[in-house]
Amino acid sequence: MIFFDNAATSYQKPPGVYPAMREAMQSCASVGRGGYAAAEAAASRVYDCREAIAALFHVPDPQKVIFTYNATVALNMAIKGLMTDGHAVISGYEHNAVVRPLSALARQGVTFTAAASPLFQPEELLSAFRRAVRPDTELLICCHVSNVFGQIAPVEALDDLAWELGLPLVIDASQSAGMLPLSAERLRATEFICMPGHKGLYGPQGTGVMLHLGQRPCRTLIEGGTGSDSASLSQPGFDPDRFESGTHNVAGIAGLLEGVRFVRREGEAAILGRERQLTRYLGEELRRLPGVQVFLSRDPALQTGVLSFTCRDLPAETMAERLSSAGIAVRAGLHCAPLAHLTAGTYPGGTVRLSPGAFTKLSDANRLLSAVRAALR
Amino acid sequence: MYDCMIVLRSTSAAQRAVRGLSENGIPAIPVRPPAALTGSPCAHGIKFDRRFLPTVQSLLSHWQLDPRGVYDSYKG
Repeated sequence: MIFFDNAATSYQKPPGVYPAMREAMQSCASVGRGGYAAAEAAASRVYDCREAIAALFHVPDPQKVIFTYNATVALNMAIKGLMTDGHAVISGYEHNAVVRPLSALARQGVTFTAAASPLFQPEELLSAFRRAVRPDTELLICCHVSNVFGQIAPVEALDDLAWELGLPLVIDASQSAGMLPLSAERLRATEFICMPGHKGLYGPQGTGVMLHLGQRPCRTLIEGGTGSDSASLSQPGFDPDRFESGTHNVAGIAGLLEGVRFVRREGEAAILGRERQLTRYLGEELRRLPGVQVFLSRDPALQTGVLSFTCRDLPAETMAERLSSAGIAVRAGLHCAPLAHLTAGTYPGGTVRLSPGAFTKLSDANRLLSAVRAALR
Repeated sequence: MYDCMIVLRSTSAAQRAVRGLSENGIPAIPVRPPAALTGSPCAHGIKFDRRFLPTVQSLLSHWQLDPRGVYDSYKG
């Protein structure tokens, strides 16, 4: 299989991930529960991963690295923890992992505005956010990179705007972690950065990370056993325990540690550079095909390695099915981001999405192009 | 000789302390002290040589890892 769906999950992992998970399952018990060697091994392995992720994002205290099960859980924790009964502003390209929690919060009076802006125009995105803020706005939320179009949002500038307005920001780094550097030292208004472990960080599914950078009051979504303050019937108030109830996915975190080490060895810029090069090549070649519309930014710096296209004469799902028959994995449809398609004008048909990864080769791209040409005949 | 023990708030705090102390040349290991000693079940702490106690306390304060108890004659 030629895999071009890394925006869903990085199917191909660095070789060290698999033995790391197996070794963890064979030698690690549960974190913070027992006092024996296997419990200490688990605690140490998990903390190793906190340290590695803290280093990647320049977070001074590894205890501010919170493990979740995926980015969706992290976003739910952040959004539902911070929102009370006011208003949120989101970009026009947010994933349902942001939109649906906000919709669910309508029961407590929460409203939200999608600050729509044209694709690949970061200044317009910033202006749209500023215009959408109201007196009752409590929170700004923005995806660093669109999972449909690969558009890079100017989150540092958005952090500056949030700071100016006295509002907190939540960044969804699902499509940027491991590729686009984000430094906690640069951010002032950002309360949380949420990301999956199983995409650009090359860890296994069942892992996610929430970086807790801020100091604002935040309710917990899940309470339970933490292996600390056990005599108390209340959830601990300190990180990471406050947000980590129940048993950790120790084997998953051990695998994630190897994924993060891979990213740090390769370098985010190198990984992004390779993916971007492939995406630009694919975009330029697809553009030549009759009836194909490609969403490729004029300036390469405004887009990552995620590329969407549509075919005038072929539904997106049909193209994806024909590519699958040729052994090529892509995703088609709305990509759990109907808002992005509404904003970009590709609703309801959706798009075919290509997303290379760190292990995707030029030969894979050429085979994909051949298959697309064949599918259009 | 690990004859001094400080109770911290969590296993993560203990990991943070052990690694930070190691970087500062102070050997330390995580420990699960007994509730009979600390009065608190499921406690987490670190053991180290009593000679380093003033330095350890200073470093823990710098890292905002407030001790929940100091036992300078620990035999666990």
